[in-house]
Amino acid sequence: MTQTPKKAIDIFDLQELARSKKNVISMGLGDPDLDTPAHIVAAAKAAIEEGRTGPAPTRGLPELREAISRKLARDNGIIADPETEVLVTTGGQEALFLLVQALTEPGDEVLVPDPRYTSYDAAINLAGGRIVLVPTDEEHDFDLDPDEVEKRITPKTKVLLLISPNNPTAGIVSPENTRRLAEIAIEHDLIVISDEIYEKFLYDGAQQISIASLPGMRERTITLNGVSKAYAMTGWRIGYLAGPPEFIDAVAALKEMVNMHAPTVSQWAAVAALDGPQDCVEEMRQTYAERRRLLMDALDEMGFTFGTPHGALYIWANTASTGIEATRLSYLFLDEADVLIFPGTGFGEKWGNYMRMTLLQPKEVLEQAISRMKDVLARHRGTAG
Amino acid sequence: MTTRGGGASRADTPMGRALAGRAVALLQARGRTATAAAGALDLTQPELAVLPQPVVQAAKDALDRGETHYTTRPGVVELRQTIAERSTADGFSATVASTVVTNGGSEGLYVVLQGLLGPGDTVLVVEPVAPNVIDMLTFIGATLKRISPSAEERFVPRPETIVDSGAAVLLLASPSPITGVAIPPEALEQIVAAAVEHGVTVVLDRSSAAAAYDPAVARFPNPELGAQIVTIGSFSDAYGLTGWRVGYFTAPAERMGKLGGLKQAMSICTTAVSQYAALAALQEADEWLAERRAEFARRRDLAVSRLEAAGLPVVPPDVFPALLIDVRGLAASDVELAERLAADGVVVQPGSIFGQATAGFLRINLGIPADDLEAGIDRIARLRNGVEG
Ligand SMILES: Cc1ncc(COP(=O)(O)O)c(C=O)c1O
Repeated sequence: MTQTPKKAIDIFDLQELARSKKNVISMGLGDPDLDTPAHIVAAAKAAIEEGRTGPAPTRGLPELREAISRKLARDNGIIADPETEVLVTTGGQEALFLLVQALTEPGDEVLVPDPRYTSYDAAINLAGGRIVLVPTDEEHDFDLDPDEVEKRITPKTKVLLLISPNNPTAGIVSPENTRRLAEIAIEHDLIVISDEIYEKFLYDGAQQISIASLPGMRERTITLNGVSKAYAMTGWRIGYLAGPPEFIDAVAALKEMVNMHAPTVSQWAAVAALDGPQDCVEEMRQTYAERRRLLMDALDEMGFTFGTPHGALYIWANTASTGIEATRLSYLFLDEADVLIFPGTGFGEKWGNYMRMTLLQPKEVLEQAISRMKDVLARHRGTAG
Repeated sequence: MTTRGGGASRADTPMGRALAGRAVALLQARGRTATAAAGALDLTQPELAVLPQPVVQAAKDALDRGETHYTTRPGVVELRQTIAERSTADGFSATVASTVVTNGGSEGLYVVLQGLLGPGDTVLVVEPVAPNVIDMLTFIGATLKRISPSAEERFVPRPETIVDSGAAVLLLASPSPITGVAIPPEALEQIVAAAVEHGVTVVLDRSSAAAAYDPAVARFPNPELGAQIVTIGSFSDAYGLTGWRVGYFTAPAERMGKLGGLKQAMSICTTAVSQYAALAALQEADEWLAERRAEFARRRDLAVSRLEAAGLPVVPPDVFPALLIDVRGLAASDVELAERLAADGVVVQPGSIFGQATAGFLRINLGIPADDLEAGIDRIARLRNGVEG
């Protein structure tokens, strides 16, 4: 039987191990397995053939900023002037990195719901900010409780981060809580970062609202989004920010400093994504919804629990009932069953009983992964705790 | 409603109050770049290169294959392998593991500087240096010490300047995209040796290496020492891939954990299609590049002979597309001359924007359309008559 590794295994180690193996089923990275829709790829190829590949303005191609502005009005009820209130970035990742740098002074407190997408940690730590975690829990489907937020506000609190639907929890911030959080932000003069990168993937009729669309919020909200997840375009690296002009000016200066502009061909692809037919998004959503159902049922059978995954591309599964710590279970799944799943500790220190499973494999492959995981559990349950 | 055009001051809005001081400072510093008036003869912005056919094809093929996902974080392995081989062949030993592909050379430079320097650390910066790079260092909070070698020394810094500098990092470019001049390999070796001896990490911007008229100028004679240098590369100028945003850095193994992590935090990975375009550029565009070099050499020769005939010396460049014109003999500063030209509808860069070392020079880009280049040079040549005596 396999030896338990000495030091705590992290996501990086697991990925290394996965690379050294053949036939690994990855339920690790948040990278949609589906192809970028054909009309979007075609638009990119047309741009390449027509030589529309040269440098673009720092804020992004005017055509793309206009498409973003239309999208925000259409989908989110957000009014953003394409000239002054929109910035195109090299992925949502760069957007979050730069906006945190633009906002955070050493000592500033940023309220971050926990568990979390830890790229925000990296950006906040680099800027010298202080991360103040706000707990969310399974019992409440990982919705963000405004009381828990308000309790943690101090004179140093500057920013409230909302990620809805959430990575890793798949929870959403309910419209009711969003409204209360808006009131709190106004009362305490907070800036809100609203990361809506998973907005297109909501299930079983779940609904959310964009906080920037609420009265009094436009002037204090930065909305972050991108085409990576919605259109299966992770490799193109296009994200964007919408916010007040004085903020966009500052992030644009940072953007110019770090890398001039987002890649031009990718920007043309993003124009096609946002302006083109949207049925592809609904088709993808339905595909993910089926996989989600499959995985939820399997997890029930395996005795894992979870908050209702209202959105995103994940299930945040509680492994406590197996008696095996999740980091070890991740290792066992990969080592014995060639299934790569990230343990909860990759999303916050105290989440040792959780794993983030992605919905990003075809149904047949997920079925295979499920059966392999069941075998591992049958072998170890109760014995390896 | 937000007031535009300077109505409400920043301090009046929630977002204005929230901005970090260093972001506001950067914004103010950024106000300085003037844009060319419509219809002006702009001698600073190159025309778009017609890309090598294999690059175009490789990009389209990559899309057809579905290379539309995140690549491995440090970049496509085959591209890193090819970059590492080229780097090693040039005397800067690198491996796949020590090479990271970035969204443009500037992202690579930012990641490296942000990873190697913290607030208060001293960085020795060899002029000329782009304002953008000064912005990065200021934003990071590093303490800048500038070295300004003269044009007479062909911008080669002296090794003594590094000794006792107390610097954490020495930042220099060779060949320089600003002057077009390469530090001779042996001189560079001495500088690097002095830095390494004094515990100073060398960051060498090699983004113009592939644009050398003679590739030998961009080589390094000491592979052991070369392996200790952090290098920055780019596909922009040489291969005309500026809009694709692809570059890279190489760094010694012990630096990779931190620098790789920072790159991931910053942008996860580099655009997949751009990486495949860059790979084709390295593997299949040698002939195209040779022709491009020859074309730039023709333009350089034409520009140099016309300017010299008009009594304006130039700094002979080792790489395209930059050309520095020496106007120190004229009775006006480079800034005044650039302003005068701008008023006359001709846009050039005054060397002073890159520091003291290039004050008294005007910088043009030989990659502008050929007709514009000739017309522009004639207008610059007329400066002599206008301002002399
Ligand atoms: C919450 C969240 N925000 C932003 C991103 C960045 O994605 P990208 O840079 O591909 O747009 C991710 C990626 O996983 C994410 O999960």
